[in-house]
Parts: sequence; structure tokens; C-alpha cells
Amino acid sequence: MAKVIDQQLAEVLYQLTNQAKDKELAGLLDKFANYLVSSGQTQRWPVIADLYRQKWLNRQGILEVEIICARPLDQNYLQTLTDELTKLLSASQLIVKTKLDPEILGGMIIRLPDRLLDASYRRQLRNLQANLL
Amino acid sequence: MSDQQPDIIIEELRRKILQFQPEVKVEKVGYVVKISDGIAIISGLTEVMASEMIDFEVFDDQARPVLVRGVVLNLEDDQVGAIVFGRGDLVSAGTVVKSTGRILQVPVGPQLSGRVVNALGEPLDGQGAIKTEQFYNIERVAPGVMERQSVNQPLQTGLKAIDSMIPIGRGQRELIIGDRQTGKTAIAMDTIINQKGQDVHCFYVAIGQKESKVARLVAKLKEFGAMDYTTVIVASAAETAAMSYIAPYAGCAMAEYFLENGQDALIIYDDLSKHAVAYREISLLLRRPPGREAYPGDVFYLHSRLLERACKLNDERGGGSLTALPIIETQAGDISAYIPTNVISITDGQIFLEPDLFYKGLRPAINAGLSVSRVGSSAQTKAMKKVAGKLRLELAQFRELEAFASFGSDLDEATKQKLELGRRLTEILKQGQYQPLSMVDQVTIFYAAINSRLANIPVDKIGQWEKDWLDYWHNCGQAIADSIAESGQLDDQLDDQLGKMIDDFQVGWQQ
Repeated sequence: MAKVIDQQLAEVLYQLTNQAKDKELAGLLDKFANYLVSSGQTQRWPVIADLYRQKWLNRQGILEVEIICARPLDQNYLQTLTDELTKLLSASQLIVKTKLDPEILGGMIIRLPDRLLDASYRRQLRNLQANLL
Repeated sequence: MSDQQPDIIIEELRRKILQFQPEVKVEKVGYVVKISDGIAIISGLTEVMASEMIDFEVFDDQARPVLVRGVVLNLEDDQVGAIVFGRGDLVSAGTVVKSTGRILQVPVGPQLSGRVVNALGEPLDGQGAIKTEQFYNIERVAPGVMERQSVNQPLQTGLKAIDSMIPIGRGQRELIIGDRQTGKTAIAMDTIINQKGQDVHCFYVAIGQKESKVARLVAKLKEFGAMDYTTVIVASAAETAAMSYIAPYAGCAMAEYFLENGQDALIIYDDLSKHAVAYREISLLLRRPPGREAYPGDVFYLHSRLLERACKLNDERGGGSLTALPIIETQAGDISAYIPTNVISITDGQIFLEPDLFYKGLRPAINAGLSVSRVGSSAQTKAMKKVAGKLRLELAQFRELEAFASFGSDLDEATKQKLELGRRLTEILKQGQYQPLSMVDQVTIFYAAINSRLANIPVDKIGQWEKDWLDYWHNCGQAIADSIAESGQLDDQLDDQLGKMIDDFQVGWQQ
């Protein structure tokens, strides 16, 4: 039998939990955990959990966004930015993670799973450097 | 002037800084999930194309950006698999990868002649940047049926054994196959050297070879003045399998520039066995299902799409040609292995080299029985056809008789004569390396052989006779040589003149 890959296990778990009622959930998870333990695959759980999470977020239309800036952002400003981004990306909800990185010098970087808006000073200086050489 | 220069530079820099427009744009990116053995698994890059070029955003230890390129090979549900060129060691998990929206391209143009480049067209010879105006995709679709015409012009290799019995035409694909150390590369090198003054642009693609060997070949090409019209594309054994994989396609794209501009080009792939091995390595690392000998299912297409690009275009398309001489290394003479049979079936013939012949001193060690050229004879000059037609037949009879004659010594006179002629023909097919001969020189030697002019010369003196005859011929036969070269024919009048000249020479030589 072909080996079941992490992606397939995550999909199975998603399908099971998606259709199940709340009171069935605990039992299902027990069964899934038992399967992993009995087949000696517990070390795969962190990867499966991560894939499961991404699947769930994807299908709910929730996007994860990372905003990197050199200095902490003002709360009001961050809220406005989040609202704008939600509209722009037509997502049902945004999960915003902020990260401080003094190395970008100024401006900000917005990271999505497949897109990148780099408006940092570091990038601009690098572009200028490339332009001068 | 020297005092002013710093000011000018500062002024120029100031102008550039003032003109600089900061721009911010959304880029399509992905992130490296895993990298090993030159293969990167990348998440994101949702709109990337197959075979698209991607840039890895990496920096050296002084935080300066380094250009590391890759090409997308696998498109899967939520990740892509890509091969990495160059400094793969700088790429790590989490590295940002940008799509470029372009298929992998290499620079093309006459500026590449005389250069040694890598599979991406970057110079390796330390002679500065190559400034070309045009770039070609490395993967291009071969010209269609209606754009081609049949091969009608010879490509002279300068080797007697090939030009007479296995003639190659411009636009043909002729495989050179044999065990290691049987002179495969030597044939390719002699062919390149013989293209001097023939308006054929040569490309030599070294795949997975030792850099020392490539350096030696380049030095030899320079020595014979062949580097002026030759480009060497190197994906050495030290580079990743990805480089070896794309090298022949890159070389082909560079040669196609001349094909499309109505010129003639010759490309040598040395060798496609190593290319198949490199592709197998990439495919297995990308987790594509293995097939026979662990090669992936599309290993036939790998070589067929490459060799189909060699062709002779029709006059509406400019009439250019691209001749391909792929090389395959066999193990213990086994031409029925997977990759050799594939490439034999794709090409228009093969030159089969044998170690036994090589060690007997029959060099080039061509097995005349197994070697064929399916289209080249239509491109052979009439003069060569006239002398070589008989040669092939005589040699075939000789091989049969020789095996038979070894059982006893009681032979009739006619058989003895056939055997003597066969021994002399075998002797004149021997040729040293880096000594290609012109078509006319070859015709005169074969003419002498098949018209019994060598019957009285001992077999071990044939080499000396040939050398002395060529000296004499170059001194005294210029007028006849020009007539044969111009018309490509050996009509009755020239036939008589040539016969008489050989007779004259024989008298002097024997004295």
C-alpha cells in the first residue's frame, strides 16, 4: 500500500471534524490520536496539525498577515491598516501578526503567504545601491 | 583632467541619487520550505508558470545581495519544486523567492563566438562580460514539418572513414557512441577543427566533465585557430545536476540564433548519458516516479525534444542548418541499454566506436558494419560518392573473406587480391588526431586505393605513401584540386588527369 502523506492525513482530519457535531469531536480526535499511536506515527503530528490549521484558515477565508516594522505601530493606525487590508484582500478575517525588526530601518513590510509588499527603507536603499553601481 | 575626474563622478552620483524614484510594489513571492541537493521546495508562488525563472533573495556575508536563480519544474497543490543554480548554499528555509514572469533565457548572438560560458551564458574565460542584444528561451519548440527541407549539403568532418562511408549532412543528427576511451571526443574535436573557413559556427557542450579535460580541449581548439568560431558551454562535474540538465538546451538556443539567421551551426553534446543521469537525479529528488533503471518516464522526451531542434530550414525560413553530434558513452559495448537505444532511435544514424579496433591501432576506431548514416549520403559530393561507393562494398567483402581465410591458406588468386586490397583500404582509413583532410585530398587517396594504384606498395608503407602523396599533390595538383572542389565532381577528364598524376608520383616515389 502506498504511504499516506501528511497532506492526506490532514485532509482526512479536516473532513472528519468539519462534518462532525460538537459532541462527536472529542471521540473523533481520540480515534485519530489512537491511529497515530498504534501505527507509530506520533512524530508526524506537529506537521499534520500545522497543515490542518492552514486548511481550516483557507476554507474559512481567513488570511494570515505579518507586518514587520522598525518601531512599534500605533494601535489606531494598525486597526485602520487591518480594516483596509481586509477589504483589499477580500478576506473574511485577518489574523495580523506584528514583528519588530530594527534592521529594516523604517517603513514596513507586509507579508502574505504568496505576496510581499516591501516598503522598508532598507529595500529602498538597496534599490538605490543597485541603481548607482 | 585627472583633477576633474572625482568631481565628475561625484556629480554623476548626485544626479543619479536625485533622480532616484523610490517605488513600492506588491511582489509575487514564495518562501523556501526545504532545500537539499540543489532542489528547493517552495510554498506560495501561487501564479508561477512551469519552467519560469525565479530569484532567491539571498545575501553574502557582507549583506550584499547575490543573484541566485532557479527554475520551477514541479507545480503541485500547495507547493512548487524548483532547481537552484549557482550559490545554493546561501539559500535556507524561509528565504524569500520572487517570480520573474519569464521563462529561463540565455544570451545569444555572434558575440558568443570564441567564448567559454556556463549553462546560463555567463562567461567563465575571464574575458569580461558578454554584451549581446538578444536572449532566447532555452526551451523552444522545434521547427515544424513545413519549415524544413531535406539535408542537401555535406558537413565535412575531415575524417576519411566518416566522410566516405558515414557521410554527415548539414542539419543531420549523427550519434557518436562507444565505450570510454575509444575516441568519441576526438571525432567531435576533429570535426570542429575541420570547419575552419567553412562558415559553420560550432558549439561544444561539456556535460558533467572534468574541468581539466575541458581546459585541455579549449587549449587545443585555440592552438588550431578553431576557437574563433566556437563557443564552449561548460556544466562541469563540480556543478549541480541542475546546470548539467539545462546545459544542452542552453547550447542549443545559442546555436539556434545562427540557424534562424540563415547560417550553419554545429553542436556537440558531450555527453548525453551524463545528461540523462543528471536528469534522473533531479527527478528522483523531486519525487517523480522512477521507471526503468530509475530514469523518469519522460527521459525519451528529454532527448527527443532536444535533438528535434537540429534541422535544415527551407529557403523561406532562410535555409540555415543546425547539425547535432550527440555523444553517448556505453558500458562494455552494450548499445542495447536504455539511454543508448533511445538516442539511436532519435538520431539519423550512429558512428559506433569499438575498443578492440582502438587497441589494434585502427584509429578512428569506427565499426563500419554497425555505423550508419541515414540521410547524409544524399548530401555527399558526387566526387566522393564515386570513389566511396566502391570502398564500402570492398570493405564489406574483405571483412567476410578475412574471417573465412583465417581457416586455411589455400586461396585462389581473386580472393588473395580482394584480401590485399581490403588490407590496404583498412590501412588508408587510419588517421591521426587533429589531422583532418579536405574533401579533395580524401578523394585522391580513395581514388588511388580503389584503382589498384596501391597494389604494389607494402601495407606497412601505406601511411608513408599517403603522407608523401599529399605533399606532392599539394605542390603540383592545385589546378585539379580546384576543379574538383568547385564542381564537386570527378568527371572523366579529371579522372584521367588524376590517374596520370598518381602514376607520375608513383614512379618518382618508388625510385
